[in-house]
Amino acid sequence: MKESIPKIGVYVCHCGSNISGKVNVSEVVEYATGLPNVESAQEYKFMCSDPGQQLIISDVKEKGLNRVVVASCSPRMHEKTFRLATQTAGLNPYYFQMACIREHDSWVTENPEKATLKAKDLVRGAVARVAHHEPLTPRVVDINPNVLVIGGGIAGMQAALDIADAGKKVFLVEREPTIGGNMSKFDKTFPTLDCAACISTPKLVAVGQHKNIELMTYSELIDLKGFVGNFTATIKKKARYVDASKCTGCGICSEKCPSKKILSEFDHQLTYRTAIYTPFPQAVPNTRVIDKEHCLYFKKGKCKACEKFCEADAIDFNQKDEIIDVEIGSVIIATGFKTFDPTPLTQYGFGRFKEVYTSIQFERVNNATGPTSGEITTKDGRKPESVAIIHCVGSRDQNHNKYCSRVCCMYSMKFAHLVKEKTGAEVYEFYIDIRSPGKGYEEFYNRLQEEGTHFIRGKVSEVTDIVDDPSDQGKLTVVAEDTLARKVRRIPVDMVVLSVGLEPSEGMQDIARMVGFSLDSDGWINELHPKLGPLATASDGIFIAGCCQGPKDIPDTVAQAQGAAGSALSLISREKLAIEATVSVINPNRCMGCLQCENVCVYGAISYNPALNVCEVNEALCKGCGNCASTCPNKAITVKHFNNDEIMWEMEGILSN
Amino acid sequence: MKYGFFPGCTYSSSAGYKESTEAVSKILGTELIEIEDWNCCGATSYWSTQDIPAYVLPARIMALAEKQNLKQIVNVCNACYSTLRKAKEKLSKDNELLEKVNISLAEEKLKYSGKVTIRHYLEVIVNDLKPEDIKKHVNVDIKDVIVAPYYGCQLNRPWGDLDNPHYPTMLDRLCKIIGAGVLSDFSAKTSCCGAASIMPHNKECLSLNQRIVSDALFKGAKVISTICPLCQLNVDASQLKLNLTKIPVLYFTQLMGLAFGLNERELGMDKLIVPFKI
Repeated sequence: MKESIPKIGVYVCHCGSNISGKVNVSEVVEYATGLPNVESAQEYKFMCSDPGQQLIISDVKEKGLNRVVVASCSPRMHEKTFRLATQTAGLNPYYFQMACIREHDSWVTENPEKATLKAKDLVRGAVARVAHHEPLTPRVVDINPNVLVIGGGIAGMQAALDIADAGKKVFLVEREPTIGGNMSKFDKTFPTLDCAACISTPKLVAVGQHKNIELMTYSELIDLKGFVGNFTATIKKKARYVDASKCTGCGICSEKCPSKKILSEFDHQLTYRTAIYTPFPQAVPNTRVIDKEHCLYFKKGKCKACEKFCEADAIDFNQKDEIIDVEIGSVIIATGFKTFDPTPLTQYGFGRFKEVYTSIQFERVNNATGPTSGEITTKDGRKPESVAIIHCVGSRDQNHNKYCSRVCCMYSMKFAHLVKEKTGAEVYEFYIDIRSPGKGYEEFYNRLQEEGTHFIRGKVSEVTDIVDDPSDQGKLTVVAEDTLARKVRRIPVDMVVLSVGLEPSEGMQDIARMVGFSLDSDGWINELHPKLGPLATASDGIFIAGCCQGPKDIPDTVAQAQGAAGSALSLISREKLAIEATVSVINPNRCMGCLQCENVCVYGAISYNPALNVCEVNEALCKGCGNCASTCPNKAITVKHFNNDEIMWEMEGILSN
Repeated sequence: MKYGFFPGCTYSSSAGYKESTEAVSKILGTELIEIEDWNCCGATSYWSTQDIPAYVLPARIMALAEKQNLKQIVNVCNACYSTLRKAKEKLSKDNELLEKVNISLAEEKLKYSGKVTIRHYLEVIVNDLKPEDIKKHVNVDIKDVIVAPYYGCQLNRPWGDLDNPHYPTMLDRLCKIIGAGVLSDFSAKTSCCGAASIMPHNKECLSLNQRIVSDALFKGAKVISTICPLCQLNVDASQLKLNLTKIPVLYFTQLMGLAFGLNERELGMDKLIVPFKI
């Protein structure tokens, strides 16, 4: 309810000398005293300080003020502070108006007289406006404590476990048939050479067994609606054609499946799998899945070998994709990365020479569950005498990815160590710069140098099967300019590892559109703030963890995952959320349902109600930007606290000199 | 189809490039109209000095083509092709240079405006003609002529817009169209032959040619096919000093001529250093 007669208190701030250095504050105060409805006007050194705020509070009580104007810095700086002071004094917080006489005046005006004049204009505008303010009440909504985690790699698993351990419900959605992500493909981790499986498998099991985690593998997010605290996620659970409640994971089906020549995604095309399969032995869940595209029954209508041999009677060819909705209050995106495909770099011969591997393939070669059971051998079974590792393949490259992928130097050196340890072969690391910032990383680099790994500084120009010495026939020659020794090196080797960089996972554009966050020019998720908001996005309630935000190693990924889990838990612990009152409202009597407002709303806050042929605003999503109000051809939309009346009065005030 | 044609300095003295190009273009109907009063393009060595005359030389060729109303300039030499293309690119980005170049050209009442397109004859055949328009002229089976398709280094670098810059396939495709056998795993496709450096740095350049020849031999080629007079000469002549089995080095136009039923004399193949015998 509007107070009948406005009684306005005006406070002009010195801001040390930030304002008073240019603006004659006393003159402004004196001027303000004479403005309509102004009950009192005062100056103070720092209005934002406790005594400054106290001034407002006691004046309201003692002088019976019902409106407050502070002329100081930008509203972005202290509007919230003074609104709170106004509220503490017992007034509606929106009975306050700020005049920006620092950023808009003293800092940018050279002449003190002009600065003082402008300060008077701005104060006059604020006084005229505040008299017409309406009281507003922020809406309070409940926060749903459930969390959705998208992606079941190490980041997603860690975040899910932390939240679940705090007693909150987590829905963990993973696109692949198993959780584990890229980390479960690795053999050792740098620089400690821990066995990756030994530290990640317990996490897989813990996630699979946790009573607070509802695991949805072979599933994808297909829609997300709602707002912070109250989202509805729509998830597609793809048909596995295997009943998870019956499958024991015995593996007889895979043994009997006649389609055996399907390139394994998990082993990055180094081995074959069957049409009914599990990506790797420790997969969680251990339920098999039938790859419809390669299954003989789905292709030709007969076979069903798996069904015949399954003792648990778990095969179900009639299973259908399932679409389910889950209610959640926050989302953690942990979609990870994929490795760069080096095929376009034809000079390195990937795909042309069989002994050229990508680094992720070489992880599999090293892994005990990989194609060679962890032994490093060439494809024809020879132990290599020499191995070349080429850094920065597709990274720091103007033609491909311009950025450094951060992990390649370190994993390349890990490979060098493993090759030496397992085969005794000579290892040549071709690098541009060695980047080893991290705990124990530089020490690992030193250790590798001591172990006799050859470090050659130079970008490799080509990998070729042309050899200069006929006795090297069958080897690959790596050609590079050694920029330290200043000569061209041609080194014959048995195996070549391309240290490929990291790229955002497939489908990030879709998720970004659905969930409402932005991607940078390389496709990584834009965090809220590069320094101070690395775990959040610009959409409230949407947090990020791991490589989806940018390349990072396992410790950093886990740290970010735990941070994101903490952020989600902090949100949940608030239980209720106040939603800013300065939102737009649509008058249904004036709205014609033309949808122009919906088109300009960047927050997705406006939707169309076909039953009433009107547009409606979701107050929780609305940020009060005013795009819709200025677009509406029928003047049906008002933005609270920025209605036409208030803006006209402010202009009237400023211009009435 | 009519094209402006810039033969370049080595065209007529090379081992049958002129004879075979003329013969093949006549059969294919790609009419090559020689630019009147053309000059040396300066080649890559002069270009690298960045002197004004080094820009004037290629600009004059292009200005002549403009004056003679020729929209495209077809080259048969990789160095000519790349020099003209580089000059065109440089002049399109540097107005000051363009002005200086045009002051020089004005003495002959010529003006360079940058309207002509620079092409290589290999790329004209592969891109402008349909495979069946080439295939219909084939009347000799040359499937036993196993070709190592050698592109040299300058055709598609630094641009990379004609083909893959490191592992091109344009000539491979042409070989298949005319029924020749072609190596699928030739690794020296874009290795450098040493170009003009073979004169001052003979020893170093011999090892470059050794790699090209030995890879072709190792992979089972019967001939090496080139698209540039300097590549042809270097790879052909180097073999006199290389202790390897000899392998003939043919222009792609000679290979096409053989498939079209022309005899070796008509294609100037008697001028090859390593004789062609199949």
